Amino acid sequence: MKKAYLLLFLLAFVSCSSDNKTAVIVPTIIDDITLTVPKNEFIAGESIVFSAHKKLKTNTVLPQLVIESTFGVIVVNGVITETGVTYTLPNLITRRIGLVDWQLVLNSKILQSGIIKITPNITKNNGLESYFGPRSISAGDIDFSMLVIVPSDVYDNPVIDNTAVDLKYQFENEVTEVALKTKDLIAWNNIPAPHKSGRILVTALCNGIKSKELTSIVFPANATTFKIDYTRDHAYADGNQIIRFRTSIIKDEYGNVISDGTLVSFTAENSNGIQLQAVGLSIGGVAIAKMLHPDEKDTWKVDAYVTGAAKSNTINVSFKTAFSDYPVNISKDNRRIIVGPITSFMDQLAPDGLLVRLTIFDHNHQLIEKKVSTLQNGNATFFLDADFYPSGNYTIEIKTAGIIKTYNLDLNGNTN
Amino acid sequence: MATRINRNIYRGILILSFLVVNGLILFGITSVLSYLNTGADRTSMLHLEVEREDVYLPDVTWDNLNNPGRPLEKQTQGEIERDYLSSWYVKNIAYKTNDYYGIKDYYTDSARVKVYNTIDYNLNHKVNLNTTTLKHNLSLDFYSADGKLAVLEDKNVVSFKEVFKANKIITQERDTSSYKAILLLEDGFWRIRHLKKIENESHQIPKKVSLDFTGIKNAKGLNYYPKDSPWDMFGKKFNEFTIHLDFELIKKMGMNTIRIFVPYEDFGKASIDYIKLDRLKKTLAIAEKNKLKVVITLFDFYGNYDISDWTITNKHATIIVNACKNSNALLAWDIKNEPDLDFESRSSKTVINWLKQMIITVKNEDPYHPITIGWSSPEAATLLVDDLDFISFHYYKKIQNFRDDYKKIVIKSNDKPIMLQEYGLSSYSGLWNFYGGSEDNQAEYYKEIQSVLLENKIPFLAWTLYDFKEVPSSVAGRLPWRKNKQHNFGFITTNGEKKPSYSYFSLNKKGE
Repeated sequence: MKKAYLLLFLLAFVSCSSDNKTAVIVPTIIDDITLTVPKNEFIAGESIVFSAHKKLKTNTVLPQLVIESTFGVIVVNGVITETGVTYTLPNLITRRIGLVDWQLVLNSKILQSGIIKITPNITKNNGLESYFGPRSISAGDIDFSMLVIVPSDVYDNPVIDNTAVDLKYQFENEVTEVALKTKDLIAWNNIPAPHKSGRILVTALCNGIKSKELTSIVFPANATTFKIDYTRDHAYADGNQIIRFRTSIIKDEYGNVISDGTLVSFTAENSNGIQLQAVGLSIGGVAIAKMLHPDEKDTWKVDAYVTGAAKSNTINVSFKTAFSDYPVNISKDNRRIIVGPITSFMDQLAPDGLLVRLTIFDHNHQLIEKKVSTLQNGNATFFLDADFYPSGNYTIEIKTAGIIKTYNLDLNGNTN
Repeated sequence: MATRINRNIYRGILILSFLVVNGLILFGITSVLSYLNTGADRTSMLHLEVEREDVYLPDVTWDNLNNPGRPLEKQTQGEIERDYLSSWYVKNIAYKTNDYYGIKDYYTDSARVKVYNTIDYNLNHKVNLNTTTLKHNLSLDFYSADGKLAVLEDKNVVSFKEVFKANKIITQERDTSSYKAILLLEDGFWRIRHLKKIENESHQIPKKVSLDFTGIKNAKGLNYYPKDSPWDMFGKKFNEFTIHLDFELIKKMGMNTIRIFVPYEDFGKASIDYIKLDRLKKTLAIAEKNKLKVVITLFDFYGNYDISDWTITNKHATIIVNACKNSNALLAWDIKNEPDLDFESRSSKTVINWLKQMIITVKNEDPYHPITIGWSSPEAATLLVDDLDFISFHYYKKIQNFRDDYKKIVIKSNDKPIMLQEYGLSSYSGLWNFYGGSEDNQAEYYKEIQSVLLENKIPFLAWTLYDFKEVPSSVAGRLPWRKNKQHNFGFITTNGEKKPSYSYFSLNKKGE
């Protein structure tokens, strides 16, 4: 019997204890904690902990801390410690500068709210970004390169206003220093173009961090008035030799030689008012252009331009005729006309390629045809075919090197 | 005999199966052919410009473009604005889904890490944000000489956010914050390099304008659609003369107010259909000529309410309100017709949030006209009573309960005027209501309720002037017992004959 009692007692005990274990403990919801934060202004990276000194059971349902910082909103859960509750902000909040709104929220109800401020953390591994442009400017008083410096702290946050930035730039032997202050997250300065062409090197220093070397190339300004001259092998209008025009060294208003590759256009106007053109690119300020000699006596008026910028003086170039007369041989039936042999100024055969024109008129002086041929071995040959030119009287006119010769031809039927 | 029948059955089965098999083969071949014919549209070869869809159109103002760097070109200003707003848009989307998508287009290498950090953190903590910004006030601090760097200040950005943790809402808030941003031009995009949350600029709270409620307290009238174009008043059938005649008739009935509806999608959402807007203005002008006041109900047939849609609806409202606010005929703005019916499908919180912000938007554009919402039942009538200027409710229940229901509203009304904005009875009699309705019943209804309304000086707008031949399914659904009822709420039949109810409703007792 005793045993039975004992058993009963044990059974009761066991059932009780198991009851105790399974019983759900209703978590207490806490909505009357007051968070404190040691200060309202932090340096980036410093740990930020909100805490409330209130002893709580470990299973208490805590309000949540909603944090809105520059880059978005996160939710921080509280941790119950022996002394109370703490909310520790993660790095992604503590390392970003700017205002941080916080709200303690329970079931959509705001229990407490506030703002803290995080300022940049200037230590040794700060950042400095520099943006430099335009990187190619022209010499003179108008153009400039702009340097924009965006200093940042160790966590890539922009710095506060009025942070000192030292700017240095070098041109030839001169180094200029400018003391700048940041405003609206940046510091900036215009670096004016010098009067000489060359390179400007720029560097900036902020919070002990140096920027890399930045370069701006100063190109010469626009060309100014220049002179032209010519060289040629002889003065004869043989339609074969080449005349070379060259400019003086073209400079800008500050004495800088203009940039290589500047396009210079040369224009020659002949005595009939016809314009010939050639272009040259400058090297070392000098541009060269070439033209073919004319094939008849002529005088050219030549000038050159850097389009939109500068003009040269005008020079006159005269060409003498290479020969004053030439023979014309006409076959018996008058249908084959051989111009030449043409001899040039040293009695040498005139070079191949000289243009010979033949104009044919009928007996009423009506134009029938114009034929063009070129000189070959000192001769040019024309043939008046019986199929096109029936028997009759014709007038022909031969023109080469500006010399005109006229013949009256009586063509009869048979050619051979 | 039996074998012959059997044989015939076999034959039949054979022929049928032959036909079926052939049919299946043909179907197979045609589906293969039609599949092979699908694919990219040929015009896609031309790489025609992709039209940007309006998904995010917050109100943007530019204050100051003067800066020490370089004058800002109009073109660049547009590009900066577009890309800066896109940076907000992609961030909103990214925080909603906790996905990186789109961030790299609008944040530089170093800046996007900061956004990614937040996304990762929220993903780990099961936090999602539903956010939008409604208003940006931009000014330019600096624009570099090479046109590749800009410093902007964005003052008093109005935003709305909902914070969810494990899909449960933690908090929601309408908030104002200010930012400074450095943008760099990279790959043709203006990308955020630095962003810093700064102090707000204090701005004066606009003075509260005292409103004139006499028009509302004395309102007597009805909801109006033309006879032949119900629920499509400003469509192709819009006819000024018809509306003029109708308004003349309403005036003759002794009425002074009408309520009309602006359908949201028909009016072009954010890119307003200006032809329809012009017709709306003409309608107001005709009303003014006939000495009628008009309650304009906005956002008819709208049903999204999502935060991501707020900027679009705000743009829509802003344009319409500004176009109509100077009309002498305008009596009040009704934000939305019966939004409480969407509480279930769209969640009451979403709908209420949308309504609240829309009230602010409309108030901001037009502080001189009272704002209301046409709640569908007397129970819903006092929702948002503190935000609205007067109460509007619809009543389609039995008349016996009307006095009690009305008293309940008065108690909760905070002394704001109460308008019975829709009520009426259909004279439909047919299969679907067991031939229960009749024109006499309708007449009886008006006889009874008009006396109550006039006696208690309750402003009223009845539903409606005409019977309608056609009722779109989007109005009352496809169920015939609902749809048919909707045809016969008028005082005048489709043939233009006055029903008995007309004389009980009309205040001009000569029967004119």
